[in-house]
Amino acid sequence: MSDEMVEIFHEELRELLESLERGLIDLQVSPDDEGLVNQVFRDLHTIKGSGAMFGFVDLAAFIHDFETAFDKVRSGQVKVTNELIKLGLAARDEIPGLVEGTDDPDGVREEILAALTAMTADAGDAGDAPPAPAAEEPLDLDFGEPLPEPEPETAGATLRFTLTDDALGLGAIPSVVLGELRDLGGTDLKADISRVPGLSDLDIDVCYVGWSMYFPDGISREDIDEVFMFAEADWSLEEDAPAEGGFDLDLGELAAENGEEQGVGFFAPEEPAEEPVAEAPKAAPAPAPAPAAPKPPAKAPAAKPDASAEPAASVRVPAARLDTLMDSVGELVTVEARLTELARQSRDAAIIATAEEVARLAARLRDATMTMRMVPMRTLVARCRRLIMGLSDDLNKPVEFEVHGEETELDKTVIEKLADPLVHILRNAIDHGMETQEQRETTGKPMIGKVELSAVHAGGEVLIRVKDDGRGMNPDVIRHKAIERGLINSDMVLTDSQIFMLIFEPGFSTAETVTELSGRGVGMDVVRRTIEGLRGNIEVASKLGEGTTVTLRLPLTLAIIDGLLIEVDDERYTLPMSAVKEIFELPPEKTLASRTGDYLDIRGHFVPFIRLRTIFECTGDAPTEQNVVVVEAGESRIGIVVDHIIGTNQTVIKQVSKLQHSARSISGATILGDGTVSLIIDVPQLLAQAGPLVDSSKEAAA
Amino acid sequence: MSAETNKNATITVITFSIGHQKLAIPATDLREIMDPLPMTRVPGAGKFAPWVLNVRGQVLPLADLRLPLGITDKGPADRPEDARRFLVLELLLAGEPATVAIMSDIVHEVAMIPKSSIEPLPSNSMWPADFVTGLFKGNDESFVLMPDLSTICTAMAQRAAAA
Repeated sequence: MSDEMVEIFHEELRELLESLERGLIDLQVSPDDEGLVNQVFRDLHTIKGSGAMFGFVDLAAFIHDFETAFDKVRSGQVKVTNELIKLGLAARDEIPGLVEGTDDPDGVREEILAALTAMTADAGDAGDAPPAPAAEEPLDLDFGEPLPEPEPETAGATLRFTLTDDALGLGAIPSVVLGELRDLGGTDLKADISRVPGLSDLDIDVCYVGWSMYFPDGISREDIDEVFMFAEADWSLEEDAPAEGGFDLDLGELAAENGEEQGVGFFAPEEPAEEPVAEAPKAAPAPAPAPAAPKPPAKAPAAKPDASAEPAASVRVPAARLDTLMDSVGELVTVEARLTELARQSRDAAIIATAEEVARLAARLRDATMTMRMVPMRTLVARCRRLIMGLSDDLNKPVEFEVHGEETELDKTVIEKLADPLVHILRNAIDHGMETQEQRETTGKPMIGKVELSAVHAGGEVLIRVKDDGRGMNPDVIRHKAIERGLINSDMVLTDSQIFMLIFEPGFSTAETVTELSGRGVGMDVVRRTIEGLRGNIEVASKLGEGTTVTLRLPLTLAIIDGLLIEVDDERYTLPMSAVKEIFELPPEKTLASRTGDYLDIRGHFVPFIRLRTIFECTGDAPTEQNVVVVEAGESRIGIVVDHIIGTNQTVIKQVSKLQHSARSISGATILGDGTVSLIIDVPQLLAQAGPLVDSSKEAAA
Repeated sequence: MSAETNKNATITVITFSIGHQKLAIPATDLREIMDPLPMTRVPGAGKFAPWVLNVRGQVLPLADLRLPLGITDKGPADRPEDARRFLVLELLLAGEPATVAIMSDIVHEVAMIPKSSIEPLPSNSMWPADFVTGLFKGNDESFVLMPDLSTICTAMAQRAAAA
């Protein structure tokens, strides 16, 4: 099996697990939603199917039982309860372990299955729906071992099957399949070679031969399912006596699984017209069924279970390919800038027009590529919900979890890297931030706590906010602790927000007792490092007794931004356009630096400003006319004095080397049309570097 | 060929000078030698790598070995100004592959030297021991220093991160 296939399997598994988790959690909120039940069931089924295909026997067996339990939910025999969801989630968590092949020394998996079985068994005795009685049986069975029919069917049946085209490539061995079927009582084996093409068209990886087999004592659908768990096949089963009670399974698995939603009847009498062959005498090793098998009747949308779960309009692309595309687009944008520059110099109208055309296309390509990389926050939310559920249960702190802006999109890389920090912050909010029920009662707060997760776009940034209504943080306690830990000197003067930021210092933990949950995983310092690594930053606001709000600011994308090109002392820098609010000329009376701090009066508001010349230690003299670019970072607005404004450009961000990480106010570099490098200014960092001015700016702006 | 058979006995190096000091780096570390390119100053980047370059669409840091090796002199007065070259190197920066350009006042030659001629740094040497893998005697009887560029850059990056 190729590595690529395995990779696809893992990728798919990850998505399915996410979807499964989401489904289960949503189901808890709306237990009667049949669509959700079906989705959960489908996810399980697909995991089982592809797991089996890739030889994960234990996984397939495990899920088989799991699936059986949910089949009862689907058929309405079992109601969705919180307990069931919890078990479902616990079972879901075992799946990665099963795939990795980790041991289960404590028998957790067995326990979960037993509990699931117990929970669903008592309700499942009605059994009039066809799949139900059989569905119960495999619960106690060892997967994959053919078992004697416990209840021999009265009528015989004919099974016809062909392996799917890629089955051999995936490791199916026809002789093994046939052997298993024989053990189930199959006789009168006939090969159907009608599909075998001429030598010139023969694909050696495809199994063209189909088989038919007669089971004098009949056979159950589930048994056949088990045989074909490892060898994907299109199969059909014909009962000898198409009387009432017998059910037609000519659509194979698919009809059985999707029957309810698709409206495909289980009972034969409705269907004979469509598939005359199905009614033909059993012995016919006719060519007809075999060719018909790969193409099921129109009622079934697709032949493979996983295909039916996937909307046809989307294409799965490895992230690495998108990265390559992004790199190429980045280069294109750079070359395009150069072309525009050359065209301008040439003064040739035709070349200028062509360059403009190229610029427009490059911009469109850039946008399209970036959109492809955007993923909604939703993918993260399920994980968060899950965490909150678990935590609030374990710690007995009932919490209402509200989410706003699930649709907010972020670059895939950002989302991926955001998961751990976000989980950590949420964990802190409940574990440390939230009071116990008794404490809440005595302080007159609602018994049920509230945690809010919101994501909104703000310019070129996304603000992700985690807000709790817990006890809040006590700056004095934090301060005291920080001094104790040697993080700050006892005589340091810090604002509350600076004190709150201390929790992100390495070696700081406010937890009085390390609980099972908060004691493991990444520390808050790792949270900050991860966020800063994404060119984002963290802000913390907290009010004692009222709660804490942690705000993460993240850039929308990591690759290309719109930039404003400015010049200082013949050096050209790029400011992210998203941070730029307005531009105007520096009033002549402000040209010289003042001692008391520089402020501009913008429509009645005082806006402090800094001089890039000073901060970047430029040597030359400032020109007589300078410009001010007003930028916004966080809550503060500040003016940056520059020599000239050159214009806007598409900025492909190139990372600066680790060798230059001490240049904190530089977030990256970009190559300009003339081939020179322009550094990209990290506005929040620049303001932080400007230090005292920024602090006073906050007060001034307020 | 001979390069193959002598692989274990000799090493191919590029020799160049910074100030009066002759240096050598393994040819395998060298990606290319470039005429000076327009340099962009990086404010706040420190003295070791204060500039960036555009090398065919890649933005690379330009480093100066004078600082870590403690070279202060300008070199012979008769050395032509236009002999300056940038060496683009592939090295390991904190364990990760990185491309870095370094400045050299003049590039001399590509030489095959017997490995046996490379000696460890004398214990009382003026050079920082961590930053030099060894030295050998060049054809003009002067000592040629073999800087450990990965170690130097990693140390400098740590300094940059702490600054």
